[in-house]
Parts: sequence; structure tokens; C-alpha cells
Amino acid sequence: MSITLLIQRASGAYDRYEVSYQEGMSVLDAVKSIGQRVPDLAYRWECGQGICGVCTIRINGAPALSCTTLARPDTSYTLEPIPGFPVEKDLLVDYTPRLEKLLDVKPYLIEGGQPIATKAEADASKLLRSCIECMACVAVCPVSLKTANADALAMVKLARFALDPRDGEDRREMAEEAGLDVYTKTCPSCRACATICPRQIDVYEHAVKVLAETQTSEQAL
Amino acid sequence: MNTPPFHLESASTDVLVVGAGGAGLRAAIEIAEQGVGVLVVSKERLGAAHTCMAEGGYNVALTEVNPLDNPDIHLKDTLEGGAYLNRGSLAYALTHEAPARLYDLERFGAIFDRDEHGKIAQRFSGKQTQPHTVFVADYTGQAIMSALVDRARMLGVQVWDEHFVTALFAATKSGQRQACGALALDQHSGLLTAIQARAVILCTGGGGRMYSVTTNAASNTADGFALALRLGVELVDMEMIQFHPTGMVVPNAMRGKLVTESVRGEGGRLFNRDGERFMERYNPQRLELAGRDEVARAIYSEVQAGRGTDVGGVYLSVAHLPAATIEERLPSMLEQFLAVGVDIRKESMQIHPSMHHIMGGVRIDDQGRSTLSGLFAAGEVTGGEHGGNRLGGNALAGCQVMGKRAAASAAHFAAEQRDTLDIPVADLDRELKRIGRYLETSQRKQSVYVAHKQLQHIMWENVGIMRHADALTQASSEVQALAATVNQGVRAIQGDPDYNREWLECLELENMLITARAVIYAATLRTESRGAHYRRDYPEPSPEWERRNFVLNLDGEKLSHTVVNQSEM
Repeated sequence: MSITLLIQRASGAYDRYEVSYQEGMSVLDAVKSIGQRVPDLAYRWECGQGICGVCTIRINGAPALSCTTLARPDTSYTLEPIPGFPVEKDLLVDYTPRLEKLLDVKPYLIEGGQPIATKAEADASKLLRSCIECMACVAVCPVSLKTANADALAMVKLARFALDPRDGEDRREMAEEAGLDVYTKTCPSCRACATICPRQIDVYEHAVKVLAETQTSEQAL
Repeated sequence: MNTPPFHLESASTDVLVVGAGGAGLRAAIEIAEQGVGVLVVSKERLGAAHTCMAEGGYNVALTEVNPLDNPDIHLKDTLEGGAYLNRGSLAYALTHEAPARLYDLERFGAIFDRDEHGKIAQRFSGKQTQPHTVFVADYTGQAIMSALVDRARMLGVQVWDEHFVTALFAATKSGQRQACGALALDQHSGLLTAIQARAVILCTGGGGRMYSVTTNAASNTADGFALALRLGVELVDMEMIQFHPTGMVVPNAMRGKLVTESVRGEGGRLFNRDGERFMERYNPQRLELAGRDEVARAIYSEVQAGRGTDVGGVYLSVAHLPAATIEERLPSMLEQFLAVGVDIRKESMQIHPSMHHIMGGVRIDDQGRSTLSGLFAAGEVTGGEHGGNRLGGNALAGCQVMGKRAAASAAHFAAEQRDTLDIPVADLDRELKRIGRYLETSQRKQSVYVAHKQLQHIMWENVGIMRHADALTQASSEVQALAATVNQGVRAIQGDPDYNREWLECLELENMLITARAVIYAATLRTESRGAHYRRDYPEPSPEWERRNFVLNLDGEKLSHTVVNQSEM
């Protein structure tokens, strides 16, 4: 049994490779075995276990962690770099521009709120805190891909701190400045983010809606 | 340089931190907060270091949460767990500063899971007399990495990620050797930069990739041990390799992947093929929560005695626990096994020990100072904190405590230096030759991947859970022969330095080979069984080696050693 990979290379052309199938092998395992034959094939991997978030590629059109996507025997996979990011080479994209832009929303805890007193307060942001920055949501969200404003990852970060009682920043106001209304008004409710996220974060439901329902500090007064 | 024509850039910083895992990022944060210049160079994308794969938790005695617990109890558990080979001052620092460093992490953004009273929740891990382990479900390492990355972003810490440090350098100042910089290779463009630094902190983590079955990530290729040895820096306790009792067995493509100790912490039970809860025979008091060394050996022995499963593992089951507990406390494990068709709420997992952690490493004091002036170290690359066997949960605490301590020392040291020392030109040239050789494609006789597999096989078969003089002797000669083969004929296929994964693998393999030699050398010296080191030919501890540690040194190509008593320090 084998699997077939069509990999989009730096030239834009798709190279075709055959890999022999092994039970339990992931798409990443297949890419790695090709990497041993094609030394200049550029791709990322690190943990191989769905935790580090660096191996996101487009698999048959949908962004996914290649390490947790199990390969099926006698199946063909088209692999491409994720959209929304400049391609460095082959499957390797450059995260820098978006990570630099992310800093606009201050994606870190800013003191000024209240300490955590209950389990419920601790748990409120738990799902969003489990984000591994794999960028799959950004690569699949039609709003993120179009807007020059904040991307889906930035919305997740903003909501994560909005739900953290310790944070002293006005995250609602910050979200508005970062283009929250683009999401509330133009999100097509495709829910692609929710299906794609390895942590089951639904960017609209768990971030955008939360931010839209958060009071600004003025309203809170 | 003739081949290839390397273009060499230069850079300088006050403190260079090599590695951006738990220890490296904690160190960088401390230095930035002190207003001292810092540059972090790491092999992985920022946030993806191996620390994120730690699942179980962070050990800490929080008397305010559990009045029965205190740092002295944590210290006692740590020393007992470490077979009293720990460097006393390091174990003391780890256990007594773990609380303050935990609250730092919460200040940086982490939220450890709370109990129903809103207090930080704790659970038992192996060999604990009080439940010291705090956690974020079963992805604690990732939660800690996120907080450290957040803080580093807030402070604007300069990070060169996806860069490989191939060598450290030392220069002579007033008759004394002192660390002065490093050579960094951009893993994408292949560009090289000589980085001058007033102080260097080594935080490169472990070397699981020396073994064929390991829980470790791709980057754990023993680089730091090799960098230190080549610079003449002492290593200690290199025979002490931890095999995590529970790694996945099937499917084969997932062999070795970590099944967190929290599975047993939450009440998971081990059974052999006859359905016997065999830990009752090996340790009736602590059962599944005996030390990692003990549980790993018990599983190994069951399989060797023919009481393993058909695929060479044993069963681990949480099926007796409420489904809701598994869903809340062990979500990653549930998902990991569901992906391969095993529902751990109803079915048993099959597990076998997997190489997990190197207790030994760069010999440091409690200020994080190595034996070379200006070189500091923290995290798994160091030796002494954990002695002969690390408690599950002590690595995350240790990297935070010593990351901060090493940073404070390094920042102070850097501030005291009037100038930055030049990297000696001859040393830099020699290094460029060393790494450039692997690009001589016409010399290529063998693939680096084949050679790497051979090393992994040698180490797993001969320098594993149970050792013997004969196997160690064989491993020693096989590793030496392999090193000669690599030296003569393992080269990259592609001669260009950019996007040349195979070249990087050659450099990593050389690091693993020299580290493997150190492990085998130390394992041969310890003619007894103590901690994680078990010798079939010497199955008992020997009074001769009680509280004694082997310190290794590389001189040219030759390893030598001295014997010390670290516990007194």
C-alpha cells in the first residue's frame, strides 16, 4: 500500500511523490520520508504530536496540522503552503508579518485587574489559552484573509485577555480599533475556523462574540 | 574558506541565550527586565521548544494551598527520588524557589487549574509524599511556554528563531579562559553569524533523538552537551538517562510518544497480559506511582518475562475512572488515543517505556555558573538538580528556578565586563571548516539518516533501561566506528547552505555522537545500580559509589573523568 503526495514546490509546480504506507503514519511522516529523498524540500516540524503548532500546511485544500492528520492507504494528498502568509519556499511560510502585526493588540497580560478568586474565573479563558498559534484559523477565515485589520489569531488573543479578570486593559475598545466590526458584520458564519482548529476554538463564537458582548471601560462605569 | 564560500555576518550582545525553551525564555525575560541587552537564538519557531510537550505539571510545595506541604518535604522527595546524587544546593534552590517562580508564571499570564475553592489545584505524581504537582489539564508545558512567549513579546526580547548554534567560543583574558560568543546558522537562508557576547547562557535542552524510542521532539539532538564538551566545559551524571514508563507502542509510527504520568496520577493502573496488576509485586506501597526508574524497569521486566502484550507492551487503564474526570483532566490523552481508535474511557492503552530525559549535563553551581568563566547554563542541559532520577514535574519547576538564577548571574557578569572579547580567528576558522566539510557532496558515501538510525539502534539496544558491561563495550566500539564513518563519508547531497535540512542533520548527528560517547563512558564507570542507571552485572547499589558523581571532560578527542561528591555542595 502506498500514498501519493502532490506537493507544491517553490516554482509553483506540483511535484508528485509516492510513499509506502505504514499503519498510523501521519501526513507529516509521509512528508518527512520524502524530505529524506528530496533534501531541499522545505517544511517545518517539531513535536510530531499536535502541541507545538509549526507543521500547519494545506492538505487537500484545508489547513491542518500535518502531524495529527493520519494518512490513509492508497490515497492521494495535495499539499500546499497555507494561504495568508508569504511563502518562503515550498511548504514553508513566513509568519513574521502577522506576528509583528499581532503586537498591535498587546497579546500579553497587562496588570490592572483583579486576582482570580474562583475556578469559574480561571476556567473562563481556558479554551482560548489552549491556542497553539498554529495559524490554521487565520489561513481559513475569509475575513482574516481579506482584511488589513487584525486577524483571527488577534481576536482570540483579545478575547483571551478580556476573559481574564487580572487584565487591566480595555480589550473591547482595543478590539474595535483592531476592526472587530469587520468580523461582526462580515463573518459569513462558515464556521471553518471551528472545524479547523486543533483545539476546537470557534473564533466567532468564542472570541468575536465574547468581545462584542464585553463592555468597554466607559460602559462599565 | 574554499568550499563553500561562506558569507559571515557579525553581531554582538551583552548576554547570549542559546535555546528558547522554558529555561532559555525565563532567563531572557529576567535579563530584559534588568535592562541588560539580550539575544535569544533557538532552533525552533518561538514557542515551539520541547518544553511545550511537557504534559504532567510543575512541582511546587504551596503551604498556603496545602498546609501539610512545605519546600523541605519537596526537597526530601527530590533527593530521595534522585538517589541522593543531586547537587544539594541545586535541589534546595529548585524546591525552595519553585513557589516564587510559579507566581511569576501567573504574573506572565499563565493560569494553573483551580480547585472548587478557587485555590491552585494539586495532584500526585510519582514518588511524592504530598501532592506537589500543579497543572493545566494535561498540557502544562504548553501553558507555561505560552506565558513565557507572551512576556517575551511584551518586553520586546530579541529572538532569532530557527537558527542553529553550531559552536561556542572562548577567549583568554588575563590568563583565564572566558566564554565570548557563538556561531549561529540561519536554518533557512544558510547564513552564518558570529555573535560576540559578554556572557552566554546555555539552555539547549536534552538529547532524546540519540535513542530510537523517545518522547522527545525533533530538535532534541544533544547539542548543548556537545557544545560544552568541545569548549572544555565539564559535564556530570551523564549515565543518568530517564526512561519514561509510559510511551505509546502502537501504531508503530507513534512508538515512543509520551503518555503523561498524570494518567497514573489520576489513578491509572498497569496490568500485564494475564490481567495482573503487577506493580503490587514491585512496589506494593506506591504501586503505579513509584519512581519513574522503578516503574520503567518493572514494565521492561514484565515484557522480557513474556508477560507483555503481543506488541511488546503492557496495559495502562483509566477505564475505571468517571468519563468526566478523563475528559477534564486528560483531554490530550483522550484525543491522542481516539485518533488511533482507542477510547481510553472504555479501553486500555498499550504502553512501553520511552527515552525521556537526561538528568546529567553541564556541571553548574547554584548560581548557574559552569566550569568556564562567562558560561552559564540552566534546564535539561545541566546536571545535578535531579541527581540519579528526576521526579515527574521537577523539570518545569527546575527550568524556571535555574533559568532566572543563571540569568541574574550572567547579567551581573556581563555588566562587570569592560569590553566584549573577540572570538579567536583560528577557532572560528576551524569551526567553519568543521561544518563546511559536510557540504563536500563529492565525498558523500552514506546518508545521514542511515547513520542516525544506526546510532539510535546502538543506544536503545545497549545503553537503555538495563545495561551490562558487555553491551556498553560493544556500544562504545560501535559508536566510535560510526563516528569514523560519519567523519569520512556522511555528507549532504546538496552543496548549497540554504534550505539544506540534511546539512543540519549532519551537524546534529555529530553532536549526538559525542554526547553518546559521554553517556556510554559514564555508564561504564558506574559499576552498580542506582537511580535510573541499572546494571544487570551489578544489580545492587555499591557503597563505593554512594553520593558520588562522575565529572567528564573532553580533551581533544579523549574523554576523562574525576569523581566528586556533589551532595555536599
